[in-house]
Amino acid sequence: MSKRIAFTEENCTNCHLCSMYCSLVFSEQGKYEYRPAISRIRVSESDDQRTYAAHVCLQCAEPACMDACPVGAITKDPHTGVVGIDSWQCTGCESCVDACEFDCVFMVEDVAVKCEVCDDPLCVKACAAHALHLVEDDQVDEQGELYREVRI
Amino acid sequence: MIEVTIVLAGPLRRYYRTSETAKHERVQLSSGATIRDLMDHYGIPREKVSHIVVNRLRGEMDTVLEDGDEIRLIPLAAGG
Amino acid sequence: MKGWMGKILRVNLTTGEIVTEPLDPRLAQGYVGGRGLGTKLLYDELDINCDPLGPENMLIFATGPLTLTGALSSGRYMVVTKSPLTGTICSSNSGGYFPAAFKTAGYDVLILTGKAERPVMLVIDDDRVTIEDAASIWGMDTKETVSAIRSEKRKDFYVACIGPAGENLVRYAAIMNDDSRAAARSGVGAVMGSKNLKAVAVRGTKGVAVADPEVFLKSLVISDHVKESDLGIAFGEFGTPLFVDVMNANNIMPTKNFQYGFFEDGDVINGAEIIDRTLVRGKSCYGCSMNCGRNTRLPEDSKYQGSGDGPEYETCYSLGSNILVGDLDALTKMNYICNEMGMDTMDAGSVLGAVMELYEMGNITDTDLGYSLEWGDADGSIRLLYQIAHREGFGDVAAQGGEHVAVEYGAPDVFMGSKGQGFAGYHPRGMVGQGLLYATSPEGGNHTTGNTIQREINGIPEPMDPFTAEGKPELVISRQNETAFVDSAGVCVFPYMLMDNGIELLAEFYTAATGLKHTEGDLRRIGERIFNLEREFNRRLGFAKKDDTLPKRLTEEPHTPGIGEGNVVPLAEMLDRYYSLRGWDLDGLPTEGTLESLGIE
Repeated sequence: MSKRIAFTEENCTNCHLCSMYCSLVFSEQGKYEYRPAISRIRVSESDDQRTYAAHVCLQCAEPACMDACPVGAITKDPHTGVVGIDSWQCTGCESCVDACEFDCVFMVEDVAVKCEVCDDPLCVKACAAHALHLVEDDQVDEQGELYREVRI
Repeated sequence: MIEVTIVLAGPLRRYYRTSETAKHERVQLSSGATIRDLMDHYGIPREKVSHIVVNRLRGEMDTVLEDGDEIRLIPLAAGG
Repeated sequence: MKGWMGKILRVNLTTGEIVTEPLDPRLAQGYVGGRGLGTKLLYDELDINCDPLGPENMLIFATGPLTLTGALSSGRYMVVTKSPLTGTICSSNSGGYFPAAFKTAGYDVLILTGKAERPVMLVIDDDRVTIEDAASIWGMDTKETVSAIRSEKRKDFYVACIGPAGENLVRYAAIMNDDSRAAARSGVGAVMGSKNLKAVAVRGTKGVAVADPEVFLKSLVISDHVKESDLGIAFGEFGTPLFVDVMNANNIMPTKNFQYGFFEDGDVINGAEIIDRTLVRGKSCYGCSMNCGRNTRLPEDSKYQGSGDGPEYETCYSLGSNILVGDLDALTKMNYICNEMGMDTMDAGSVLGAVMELYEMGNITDTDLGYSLEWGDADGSIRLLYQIAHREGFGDVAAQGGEHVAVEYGAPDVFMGSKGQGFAGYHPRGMVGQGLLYATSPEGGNHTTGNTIQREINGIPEPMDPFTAEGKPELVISRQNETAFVDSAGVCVFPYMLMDNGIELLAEFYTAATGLKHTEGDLRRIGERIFNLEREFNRRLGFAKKDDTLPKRLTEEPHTPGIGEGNVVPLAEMLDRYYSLRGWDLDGLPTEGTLESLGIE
């Protein structure tokens, strides 16, 4: 089984609501902040402006980030397939950020972060365009193919 | 029988019989047909229409249509 | 502070001094942000008699406390300054992505004063603010400017900039952001150009704190509701050009310089035609789900080439029906040109309309122009638009605005505007409340200071006779007060004006963001305060009843065939009652009692 947030590019309208609401979830203790710079899902427009992409981890079958991590801080859960980063072990070297060809790993205060699939994902709720879905299936490789085509 | 021209604006254009990308189309109705009859003919619900215009003047559901009339049906929208 | 970032950034372009200071909470509570806060800062600090294009003028960028929050459509900011087009206070609104990005750098307001010796660019990278040389990008169009700035290490910056029009002080030059979003009205781009400021590039990592996130989580449901309502669906699919059909059907689509209210070719410059011919996909501004933006591209086989955003409804009127251009490709091309040159499409259309009418009258000739310019001549119009942006040939005259051209060429009555600014795409002879709105707007023909269409034409919440004075002063005052608040909060009018209880909802969001309890009534009161402050500002510049005018075409020439035929705008009748209800004297000036009760000194 693979759990992940699936992105459907044709539906996206570049509104960034997913990014805004993800950041709300990860606010510091005691605060509620909309702070896109800490979001685990980021939106950008291609140079030719034909494509809008929400960069959210595909939970790859063979995560390049995991291979690139020199300290073994990145692991893939055998049950859910979710790829996780242990922030205590992370040294901030950014190898994972460079390794991810989908631009889905981000640095927040010198630690690498990425989507690790919330139980009730707010990004999915926030997306009024139905471009994000929580899926649990075995089609990671297919999604990987789709994503390569729209990569910015 | 009378023949009138109908212009369906915005999302109402889905109701055109000829093509969704038509700018207008001609339709035949029985003599004495009203706007209501025209909308029934197309299956357009009353609440989808905000403005009814017949030959560039305000129309009502009971307005009786005549041969050669032009009818515009406009959905709800606002300004910006 | 919640909602607000709590900081003002001041940049003196003459001395290069950059200072940050705290935002006074009392100022924030009284005037909110955006339009209100910008106006208050100008009111308190500006040498009011300064030349709008001189170094003393202040150019203010201001978001609101709701920008970047979960309030609906929360991606807006205002540019506030003294207008070189109207000579009044003015606030120009824009969306896109720059406003939210600006807020993440940690400031609520940017105040630009002075004038740089040479072309410069302001770079705001969180707390690092620098003034950089912009010689290499001065002269570039706005698209090229953004590309040049966002190369290599600045890929994640957002940019607001001027094009040749702003550089050349065209009186209706715009400040463009994110390609085709524009703070377009009132010539704010010329003020930026007069300061030798080419661009503001921003990137930030901060966030906006909110007091009650629960309300914003609920807002996600409302957001879906709005988007999935009939209106939301229509709007999201067809964009603002959907209104071409509404206006045309109601005989209020200004055509041939406001001579008519119906355009024969309306059906080929509307939202449907855009979908069928030029639309790539829709586009939402930051934090908005409506998707009303039009990402477009001219077809391969078109006479004209290019891509960008738009046209929006106002441009379908100003560079379409207003000048009898019934060709979507030509209209789209003119829209792209205005965006690239950094120019207001609305005043551009107003000027072109006046020029075409003067040409028809023989007041402007082939000798004056160097070519002919008859109604509907798209290529001639394109030629003149470029000339305006570069102040070449007749463009040098036209760059000074429609009123200037009309007066210069012997027919002041052909300028379709008020206080020197061209009207928006709503014909007042078919909706007279809008006429009152235009006449009393602080910056002239601007409709974004309120819009009566929802009530006068769509009959929401209940029908109203659009042809008579009855109830119009009350309606206009209500819309003006509401909109003054919306423009200060940092959100877009659309969702709030499209809903019945929009202002009530806005009060909930304002309370939830700031933690300060506000009711709908409180919002209207604040809006009233802001509107009166603008009026008082203008009063000090000598503006009064004599300037609350409409051209004779609207008040004396009967409306042409169609709905409302024969009607004129009963301005005089509405104006006196309007002043009285506003607590202003017979000359349209706020009384001391009114100002005092609103807390204005």
